[in-house]
Amino acid sequence: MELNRRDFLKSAAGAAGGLALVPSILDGDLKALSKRPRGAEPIVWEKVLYQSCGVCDNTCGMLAYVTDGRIKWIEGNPAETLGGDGKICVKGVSAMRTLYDPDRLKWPLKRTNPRKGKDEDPGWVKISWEEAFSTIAAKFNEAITQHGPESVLLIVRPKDQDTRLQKAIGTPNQTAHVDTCYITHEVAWMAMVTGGGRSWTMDLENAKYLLIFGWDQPGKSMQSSLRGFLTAKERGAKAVVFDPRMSITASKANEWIAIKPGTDLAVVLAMMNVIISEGLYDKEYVDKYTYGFDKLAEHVKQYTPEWAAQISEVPADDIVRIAREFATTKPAIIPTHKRDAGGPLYANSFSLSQAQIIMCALVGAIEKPGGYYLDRKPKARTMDEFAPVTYPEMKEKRRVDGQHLFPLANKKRKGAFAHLAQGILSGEPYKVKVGLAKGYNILSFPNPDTMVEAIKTLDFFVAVDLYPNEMCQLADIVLPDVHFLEKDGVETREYHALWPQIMLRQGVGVLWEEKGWGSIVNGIVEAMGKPEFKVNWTGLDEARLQDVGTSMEYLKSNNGIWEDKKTPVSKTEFSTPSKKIELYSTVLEKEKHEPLPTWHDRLTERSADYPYYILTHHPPWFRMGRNSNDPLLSELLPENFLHIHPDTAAKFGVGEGDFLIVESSIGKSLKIRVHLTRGIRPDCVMTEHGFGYWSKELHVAYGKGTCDGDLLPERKIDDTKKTYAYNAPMGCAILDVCVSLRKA
Amino acid sequence: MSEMAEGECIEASGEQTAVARAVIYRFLSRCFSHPDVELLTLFDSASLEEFLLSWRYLGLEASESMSKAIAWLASCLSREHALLELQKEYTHLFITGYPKVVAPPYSSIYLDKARLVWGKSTAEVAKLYEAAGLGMSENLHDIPDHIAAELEFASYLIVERQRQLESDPANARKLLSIEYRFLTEHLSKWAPAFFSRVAECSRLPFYSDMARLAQKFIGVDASHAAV
Repeated sequence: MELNRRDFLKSAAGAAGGLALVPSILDGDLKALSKRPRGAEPIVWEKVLYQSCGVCDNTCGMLAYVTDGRIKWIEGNPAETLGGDGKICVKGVSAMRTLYDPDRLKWPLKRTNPRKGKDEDPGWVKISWEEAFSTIAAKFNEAITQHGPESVLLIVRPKDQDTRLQKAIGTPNQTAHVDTCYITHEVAWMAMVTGGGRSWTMDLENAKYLLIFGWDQPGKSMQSSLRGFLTAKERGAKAVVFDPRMSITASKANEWIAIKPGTDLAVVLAMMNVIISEGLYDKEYVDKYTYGFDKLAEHVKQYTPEWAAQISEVPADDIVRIAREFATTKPAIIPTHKRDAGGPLYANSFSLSQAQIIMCALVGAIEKPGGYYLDRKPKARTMDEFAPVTYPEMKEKRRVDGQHLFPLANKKRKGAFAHLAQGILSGEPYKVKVGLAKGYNILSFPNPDTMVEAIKTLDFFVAVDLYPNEMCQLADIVLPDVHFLEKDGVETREYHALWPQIMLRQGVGVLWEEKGWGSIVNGIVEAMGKPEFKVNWTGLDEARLQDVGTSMEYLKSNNGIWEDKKTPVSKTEFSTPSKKIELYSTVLEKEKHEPLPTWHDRLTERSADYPYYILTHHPPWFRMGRNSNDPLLSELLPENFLHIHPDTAAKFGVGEGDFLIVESSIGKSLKIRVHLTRGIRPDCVMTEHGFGYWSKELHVAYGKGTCDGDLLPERKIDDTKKTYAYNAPMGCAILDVCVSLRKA
Repeated sequence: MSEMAEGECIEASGEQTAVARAVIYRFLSRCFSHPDVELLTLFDSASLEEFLLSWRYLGLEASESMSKAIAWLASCLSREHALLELQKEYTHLFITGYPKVVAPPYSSIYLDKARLVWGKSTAEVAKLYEAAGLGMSENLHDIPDHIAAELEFASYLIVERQRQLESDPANARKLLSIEYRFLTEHLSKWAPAFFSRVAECSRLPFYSDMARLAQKFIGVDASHAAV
């Protein structure tokens, strides 16, 4: 080679022109760049895009200002009608920093290091989408052939794309986080009111009295709740918050009552007793729209304010007074959403959710101004109507997360994170072999380390996400998801809105080679040899717009919003067997659950070994790991703290900034920095969620703080069954655990 | 220049100098694109000779600096093996790497305070592409200030200017002024820091050698452009 090169150099140098003869490398086409055709339209560097926020489910209307080709500024769309005045929260205005985060996933990646674990370099190598799809298809098909379709586990939400993939494969195992989030509310509303999902829409701004049990949506800066709450307050509404700690909502309320955690049910039962025995309920509404009042009246006689006071440590006088205020200040409402006291935080949360619906019915707060409204979604065709296909029969009905053992929860098919790790590890009722997770991180599971071990037992695992988070660290193939600011489309509002609304999404363009989830599902089913399950998702969007009588063009020229704006007409019939709101639930009775809310203790009580209750909180600027890697948001709270009452801290001789070790009864401990506050009960400690990332590939989030989930229990199915009679929907009782403290 | 003493001195015409520079930029652009079979072919063909010769036209020396890279390529058992190793390292250095991406290949990471992709500097270079009649290729699916795109841009500007010197002198002058701005105000402001990180941290001699060469070349070339 050396000789040849010399010859070449000589001849090249000798010949006239030499290199000017067009060296071969300059002969070929450009690769990274390309010539723009003559007369091409000039590139538009400045523009304003309509968007609908994709960080949380409020989907706030936004304007994304493009300067020099990049989104430089985001603000609320002033034409927005949900939440009032087109203001958006810190998560929305920060979204361009997650869009332009250099840590983002950009191309499909393949693992080359077969060992998996927290400190293993996965040895990523970029692969093509074709290779990714064909590898996934081969592994899935192999598992299906050898072990049946049920050996495929999908950790995904139950939305259109997810359902399509699940049904195309024919596996019962589609599981989501809902048992750790809101399954209690979902099943209570389904059984007692809707026959379907829960009501997500509250007309807060017209309420005059807000009775709140652990609900802190304003504190999570969810705009519709925040604006509704503040508007109601401005108009003179009274807000009373029961919460063991002073939440942000509590800090803006008229009264904060530091209730003992997990005992809200006792207070609500006693309030029902007061309202009914004093005849303060809305008799006309109750007669017309509810079923089972007499049974309820008889049932709650046992729950006196004095009894509830002993359990909850809320003075009986306050219970009586607040019950009277709630029933006589109209309209009144008990707002609920997710992970509040009636969310699945405690073993008795389901009964609480039941009781809260009853309380709202007693004062006529369902389908009335200032109360709850059932969904007013746009009436448009479903995915299966748009792209009909015959799904294979799903022969195996049993699920690895055990949801099939809980028939009412199983109707909603939303999954059980708290059971999943145990199901995978025990191989009951059968082994799952391959899996895929989309948009879920390991750290969102209670006791995530067990989930790490569970995923390691799978033969093959795929993660679809925006960031190389912990779930990706365990994957064999990682697929990059698009950021909502990149893509065009529409957002059909599923909840919060009082009337049907569709929002336009104008993307700034895909930065690398990420794909939307719909395209990924199409790619997988096609590679699996099932192209008939593909869906033209853009076509579906357009068909839905057509169904409601609008179009993309309309949206573009009308502030990016289509809405059928009208004052909601109250429904007079409900989708229950009696067509009424069932205070006494025949649906629950039929399934052998308690038809009326009944007092049950917490699952775990304080003991000498574990003398404190643990509480958690989501900082308003974080949402499901989607922005924990944002350097500016991270500055707002660089690590999680242990919020503790000064009197309690004094017992351990620690002050602000010192460390305490928190050990939970599941046997794990965390070292957390102390923050002193009088805004918490002395028998409780609280820490923030959204920390403790161990994926080194998240260069901002990595190594900051600790993961609250490490203190929280996953559940064995047998344990959940013990509370089955009253805990109809298998709620995970995620905070039903106690902790001990010691000086670090 | 000390490099001149090492090799044979070649008297280069203005055109030859231009072509030599274009060859070097284009070759480096390929080296810092996602590795494919064509990259291996590059090192196996006349292109490598042209690349080395081009350095000498500029009074510089490259073959010694590339010896480890070339030896490593020669030592690979198969092309598939070489390609996989290159792709793994490329992913690790530039895309997604454990514990972190060594050197994100975008100007904004080095020039903009926010250290995000698609920064102010990205827009500056994207506008220069547009002024030169170029856009991002459908093949690359990447951000305009990717190092491979920028190196290719330099090569394109030089070749086009040379081609149009007589046929369209006004456009040639325009391309020259774009080249001047691009090299002095943009590429030379970030590429040295980027290549220095790659040279320091790459686990494969291929990337450390090529990064060192690129760093050297850009430094020298920008100072020429500035004259």
